[in-house]
Amino acid sequence: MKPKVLVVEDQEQVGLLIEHLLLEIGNFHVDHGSSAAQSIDRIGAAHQAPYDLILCDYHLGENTNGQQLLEFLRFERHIPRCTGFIMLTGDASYPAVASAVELVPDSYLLKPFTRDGLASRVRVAIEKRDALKTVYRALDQTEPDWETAVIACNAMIAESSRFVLEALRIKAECQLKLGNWGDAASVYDKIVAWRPTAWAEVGRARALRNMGHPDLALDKLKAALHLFPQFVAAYDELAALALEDGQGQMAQEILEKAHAIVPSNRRSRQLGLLALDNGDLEKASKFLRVVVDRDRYGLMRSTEDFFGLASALRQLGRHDEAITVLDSLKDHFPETRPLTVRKMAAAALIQAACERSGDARQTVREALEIRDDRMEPRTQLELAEACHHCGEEAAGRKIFLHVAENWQEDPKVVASAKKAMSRVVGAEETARAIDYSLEELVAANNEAATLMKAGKVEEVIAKMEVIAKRLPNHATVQANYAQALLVWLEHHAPPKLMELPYQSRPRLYLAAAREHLRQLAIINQDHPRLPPLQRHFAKFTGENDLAGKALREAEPEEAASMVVGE
Amino acid sequence: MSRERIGSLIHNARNRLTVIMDRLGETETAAVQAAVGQLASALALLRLEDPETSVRREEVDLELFFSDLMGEVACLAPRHLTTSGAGDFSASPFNNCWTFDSQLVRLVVVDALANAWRHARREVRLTASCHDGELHFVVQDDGPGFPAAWLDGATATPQPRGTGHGLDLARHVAGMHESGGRRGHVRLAKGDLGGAAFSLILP
Repeated sequence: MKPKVLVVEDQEQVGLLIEHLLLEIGNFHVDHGSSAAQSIDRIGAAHQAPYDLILCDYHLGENTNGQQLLEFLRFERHIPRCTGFIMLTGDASYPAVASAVELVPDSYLLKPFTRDGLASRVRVAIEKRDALKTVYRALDQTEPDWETAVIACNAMIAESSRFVLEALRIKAECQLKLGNWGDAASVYDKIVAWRPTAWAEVGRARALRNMGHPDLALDKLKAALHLFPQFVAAYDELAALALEDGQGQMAQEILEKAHAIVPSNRRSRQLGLLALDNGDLEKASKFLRVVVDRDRYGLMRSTEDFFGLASALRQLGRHDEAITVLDSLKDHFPETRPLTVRKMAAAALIQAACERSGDARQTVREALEIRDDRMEPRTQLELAEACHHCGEEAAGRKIFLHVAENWQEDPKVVASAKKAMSRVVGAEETARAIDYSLEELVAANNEAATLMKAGKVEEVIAKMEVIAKRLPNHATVQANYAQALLVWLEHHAPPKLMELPYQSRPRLYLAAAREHLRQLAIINQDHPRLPPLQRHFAKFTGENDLAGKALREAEPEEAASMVVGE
Repeated sequence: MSRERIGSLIHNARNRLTVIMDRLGETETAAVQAAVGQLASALALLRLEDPETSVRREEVDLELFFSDLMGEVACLAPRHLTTSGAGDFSASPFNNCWTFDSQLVRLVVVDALANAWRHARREVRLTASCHDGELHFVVQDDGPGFPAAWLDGATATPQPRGTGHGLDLARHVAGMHESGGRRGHVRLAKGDLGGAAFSLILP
């Protein structure tokens, strides 16, 4: 089969010229994309037989460039790793961009280029794909197989493949994903011992941070920036360290330096949202305005830009502008229920700031009616905060506790809940309320576990039924309740269980077990307790794919609203 | 400010040549390609004039870099001379890969070739190879060679063969590359072809 190449070039004549050169070089199937959006459509349509290679012009118009397209395609996994990417550019300053960013194309070619120049790059890209075939196959799965990828990388390293440096890089990335910080660090050390290499220096700092050595990581990053002052990933890592240390202002200053080097939309957004978090409203509105205006039709557009900008404008007293930003959301994003709730919460805060307290209260009441217990935490927390500002304090408090309890297993969500609640009721009361609530939850769960060990399954079921209904997003609670029901069925269900009436106790327990396993699958389809519970369940009903079925049946909005955090 | 203005003019000239190239036949294209290469060198030089300039270490695929270099050689080399090239990167610790500022290194090597073409009688040779943890670009010619006072170990101060800017530039660019306590340097010697041998050695 002919290798498939996509040429992304906004000037038709140049695109045809490139196709002509490609056909002189070899026997390729060539498609064209004249814009980022059209190219994404082509790539989507070809997902069953992905492109072998993308040749992309750096300047694409529409406020998008080839680097942004590359980052979008790779980060969002729209193209598999085995698809090579070559950047074509007439801008002699592109090497400066390539040396500053972490995600680089397989190679780049300065225009005007010769047929030989193009041919050698195409050949190397295809050789690289073939050499890394096994590694890419492991990583391109829906759930990447990091361990198999490491084994395949080791084989390439042992045979001293031409692409050994790429194999080392991927191996280190896999070790980071596997949490093998020491192994990752030793790969990076090997590369750095050869010579200072920007991504390896940053990777080593990342490993050190994860190993619990933030000071060492900081030293490494400072040294890396001395050698590679333009390498923005080093700034990103430094900012992450500062944030971990609670130094939001310092993180913002670091990101501003990175933004001056590569002012990408992604970084403008990150900076705008961080400035908002730091209370630096002028900068927040400045950076988020840039993203909203520049990226509204772009690749990485996000509702966060609009909500962040509206929030900054509201706090600056520019209420009309804030309302305009919220209204413009409907022009760019589909109206889902969570989005509507967020919009109403933000609008209510603006109404309250305009001293229209009656309208504000009415808006949050309407939002409370649309709200669903299972909506993602961020939406619920924004509504809770709005409730407090608009005369619905009790409802707001209930939501804060609901989020903290439901996502008790996710420290980031709990921290967000505490942060949001403390903004409206103070840190002391927040800590008292949330910590008490979580302690109570842990105690109830422990008590159920003790009863389970003692064989008092019916008591466990009685207790867990209440907790599981209260905490539909708590994976462990859902798993524990389903397990208790299945254990009871194991001991009490008759051989012909399915012939019993629906309203019989075993059938009701079976239905409840199905419902809570379904919920567990929606919360986390990779939850380690899901496969054994599912096998246990299948013994009664023969249903083997409960999790997949649950996900297929779940409303798209419901599944989307289950995503925790960003 | 004037540096930015000059840079912008060079960019524009380059882009106009690019448009012209599409309308030309193969022979004329090669000539324009050579001019484009020289403008790229002018941009690199301009970069060096900036006191804030630091070396841009990028991972360079040596085979691709060398093949591009030979493509430029094919456009620039005088027809009355034989210019050959050979790259052997098998001794690179990570096959075919090195880190250096490709724009500046290309500028230096092309400049050394231009110098060799001016002095060669019949032949110029470019070789690139890795040994002892260093990357060597060697340009040799069969001309009269460097004066003895210039060669390694000589005590006299070298007087330039041309304007001297090329050698200064080469030393500056080489010195900007540093790794593991070793710094890049330039070596002038008598070569296998009987004339000058210029080496750019990068750590």
